[in-house]
Amino acid sequence: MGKKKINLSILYTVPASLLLIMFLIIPLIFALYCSFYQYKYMMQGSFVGLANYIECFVTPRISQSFLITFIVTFASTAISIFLGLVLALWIDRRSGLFAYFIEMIGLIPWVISMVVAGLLWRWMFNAELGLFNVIIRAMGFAGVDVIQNKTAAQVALIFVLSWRTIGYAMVMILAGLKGIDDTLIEASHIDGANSLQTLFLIKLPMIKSSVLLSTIVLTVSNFTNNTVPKVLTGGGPVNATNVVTLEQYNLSFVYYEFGKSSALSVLIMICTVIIIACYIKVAKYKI
Amino acid sequence: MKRLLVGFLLLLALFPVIASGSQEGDGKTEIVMWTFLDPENPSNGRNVALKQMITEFEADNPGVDIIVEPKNYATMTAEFLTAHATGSAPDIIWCARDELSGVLDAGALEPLENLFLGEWSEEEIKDIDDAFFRFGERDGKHYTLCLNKNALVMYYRADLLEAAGCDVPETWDEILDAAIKMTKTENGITTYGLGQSFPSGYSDPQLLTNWLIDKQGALFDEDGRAMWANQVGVDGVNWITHCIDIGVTPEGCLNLGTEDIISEFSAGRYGMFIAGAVRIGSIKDTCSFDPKDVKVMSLPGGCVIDGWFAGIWSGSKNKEMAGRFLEKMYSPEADLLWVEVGAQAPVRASTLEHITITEDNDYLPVMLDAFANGFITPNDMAYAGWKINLNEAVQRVVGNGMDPLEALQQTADEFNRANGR
Amino acid sequence: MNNHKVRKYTIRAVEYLIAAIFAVINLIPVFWGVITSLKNPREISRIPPQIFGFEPTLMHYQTVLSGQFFRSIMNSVLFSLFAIMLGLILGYLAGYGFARRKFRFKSLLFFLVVVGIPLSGGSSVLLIPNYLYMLKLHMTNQFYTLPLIYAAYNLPMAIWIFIAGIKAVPFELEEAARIDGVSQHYIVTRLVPPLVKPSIASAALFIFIGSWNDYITASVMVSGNLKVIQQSIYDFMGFFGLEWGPLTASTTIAVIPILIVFTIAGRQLVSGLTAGAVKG
Repeated sequence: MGKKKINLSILYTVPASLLLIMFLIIPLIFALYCSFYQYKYMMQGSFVGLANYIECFVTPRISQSFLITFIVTFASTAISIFLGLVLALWIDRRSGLFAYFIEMIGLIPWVISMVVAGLLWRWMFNAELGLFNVIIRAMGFAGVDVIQNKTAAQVALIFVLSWRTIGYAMVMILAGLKGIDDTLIEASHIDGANSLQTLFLIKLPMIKSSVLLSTIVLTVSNFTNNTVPKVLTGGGPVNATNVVTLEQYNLSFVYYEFGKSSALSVLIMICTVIIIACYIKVAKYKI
Repeated sequence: MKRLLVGFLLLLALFPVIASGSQEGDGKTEIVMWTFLDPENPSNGRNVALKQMITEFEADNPGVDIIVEPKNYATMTAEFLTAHATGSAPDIIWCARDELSGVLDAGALEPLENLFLGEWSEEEIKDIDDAFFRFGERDGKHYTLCLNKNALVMYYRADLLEAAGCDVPETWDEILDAAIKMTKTENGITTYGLGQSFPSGYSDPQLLTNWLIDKQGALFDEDGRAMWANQVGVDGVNWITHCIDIGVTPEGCLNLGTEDIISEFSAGRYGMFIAGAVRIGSIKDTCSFDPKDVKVMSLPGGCVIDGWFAGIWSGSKNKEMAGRFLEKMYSPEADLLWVEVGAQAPVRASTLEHITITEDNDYLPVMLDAFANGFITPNDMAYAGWKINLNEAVQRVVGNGMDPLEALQQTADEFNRANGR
Repeated sequence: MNNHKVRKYTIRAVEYLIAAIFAVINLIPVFWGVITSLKNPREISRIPPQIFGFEPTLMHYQTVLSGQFFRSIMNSVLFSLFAIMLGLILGYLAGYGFARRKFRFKSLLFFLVVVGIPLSGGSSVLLIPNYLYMLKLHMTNQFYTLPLIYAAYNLPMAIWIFIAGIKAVPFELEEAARIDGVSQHYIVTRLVPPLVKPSIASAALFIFIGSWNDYITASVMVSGNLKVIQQSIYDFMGFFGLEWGPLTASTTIAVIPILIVFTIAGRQLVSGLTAGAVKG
């Protein structure tokens, strides 16, 4: 009887696993296979072993772009999670229309088309035509040509990536906060804990998994995001915002170096899986 | 839960209904074409022209359905090559200039001589024989016909040029002189004489390209290696940095894209700038000044020309019929449609007889001159990413203060390496 | 007393101020997009840009609606709903299995889910391998192509959301039910789902947004009659350039279904769902 149960339990996960294997894992394995071959214009050439990977490592542009990607990803994710957490703790104390209103507004950047949002920001950051400089100048400051300045462009990219995801982090964390049993918090108040102690001893540990979850979603989403950098800064100026997905895109669709681009895809994949594994380890999440 | 399931089943039942549109084959021969045009979207004249050709063709050939699958122009060729590798590509494909050699290397296209070109008289061929037609040639056979000719011309504001007291500039010195005189600041808003852009992504070839063509006739040597890390290139870069230094080109030009610079020109920020001549219609429609003042001119040494090249997939089961539709799109009547409804430049010399040059289409002579004498990259091997490489050389000099020769050398190496030279 | 009141009102004021700043930053591109969609092309390219004081026009909305825009909205709605259904059912079952059961290869299968996360989310990373693979299966340009892909892409996150949700449900509840002689089938299909409503809602939202906002996958996998909404929006930034008017108009229209989903189901989706996960 017991043995039979163990055998059946795996069945819960089988349909999902099949779908994942079919649409995610097989293409990934195929990309892995291609990454060991030379491809020119999608024509398979000779087996080159690890040459495509080595090429990715020794090309300064690509290694540089990995560095930029890491900085941009972690900065924007940290900002989103931190502000999302703060906003969620705040909204959690309120209810009714006000809270609902804030939640709705928070989610709007996440739901509107990334490319149009990116284009609109780019336009608003434009030196002469942009709303941003109109406001800045109206306030009496000198205008900034955001997308043309190396540091400003990096800040703008991090800003737009965070802008897109703060509301999402907020709602995800809020859902976790709402899930905490009220009696726990009441009990801690009765025991004489102040609100800070309640926060650190009760609330934060209880929402660990929703924070972890949104951190993973946002890290991955920012790391593999090709659309926002492409339309917002295009990688420039002078490669200041040249993230790795742009390099990967160029390898595929400008140079048609499919082998190298597959190798880079695999590297991107490995990076994100390692980051996720680290998060899981740090959060002591057990399956 | 039950309601959920009922809803689910209803949804399943609905699917064939929406999918029905794509399955109206009923035994007809289907010719599939990939292009960035969408005949179902009437907001663009080219779409309307294409739609009319399809209607006419299907009426003449009752057993044939022309199915256009509109694609994103940036990824279309990669998709086509992928589909070619799996043996399920469309019958007709439009390729961009920079990718054609790769497509030919892959053996993905059928020589048109095997289909219809062989039956054409010498006179007919002469009617379409130009740089674009020869671009589609390899080993004596033609693989493509150019359906969308473009030339990268210099746009200028006739009103500003007149106010500056200059004639249409023809040399580099005259361009610089006009740019200086057109630069002015009014009400806190600066109009720059010469707009330039040097993005790392998609862009139209910029002045440095024309400089190199003008001074040394080519961008690449016989082995296809980059030929810009030399004194000519350095002079070109210096000419550009000079424009920025004296303020006729804005400092923030390094990261402007094609769309940005067109929007800015339309907003009146520039006196002159380079862009595709095909964009003139939309610029005239959106500019904040009098559209009559939007004019185009040629560049010293001639313009860079570009286009989309339609061919027949070598693996197509209906090559003959697909070829006939391509022939239809290239017929004298179709060319007139492309020109009159689609506002394109003609592909046939004979079509010119039907066109009168007025103030509204005075860009045509500039385009036609470019088509006759312009520069196009060779198609003997891949020349991928050269526009990005040239832009990045300027970026490194202006943005990072690198020595021009060193920057040019670096990007030349990058080009050679990326293209396997 | 008075002092207390002052303090209360100050806090209120600060709260509203923060809310206002948050709202302005979040909505400014949307606001700018809507304004732009109401301007005529010449007005759009005016320096300095006009925020008010122009004559509104609906010409861009007419342009957008003259094409096949409604069809692509319908397609997107149906594809998303299908993907949500599939993703919820498979994600819930797998989540239940991972959260509640022990079985062989469990960590291996979970690793599969973790590896799946970066592959989702609308990135172009595996675009070409995916396309090649779908071509080989002859599954491109079919009505089921995109729903299946969207469900698969968003499934790893959905599973994870369900694991977290189901773990938060006290196991004692299930055990008590089992002692009462309730079948396993009943527990999985009737007892647990109402208790994980928040997870259902967030997973559904996640899948919906992933499907609704996808462009890159749709652009290679389907075309013609199966075109989705983002492809229609992209039509206005195609080879012949960026047309700000129709682009912003179509984006504005595309946001409307999302707002409808939010207003009708919003309570359930975002805050209503959190009325107390455990209490059900």
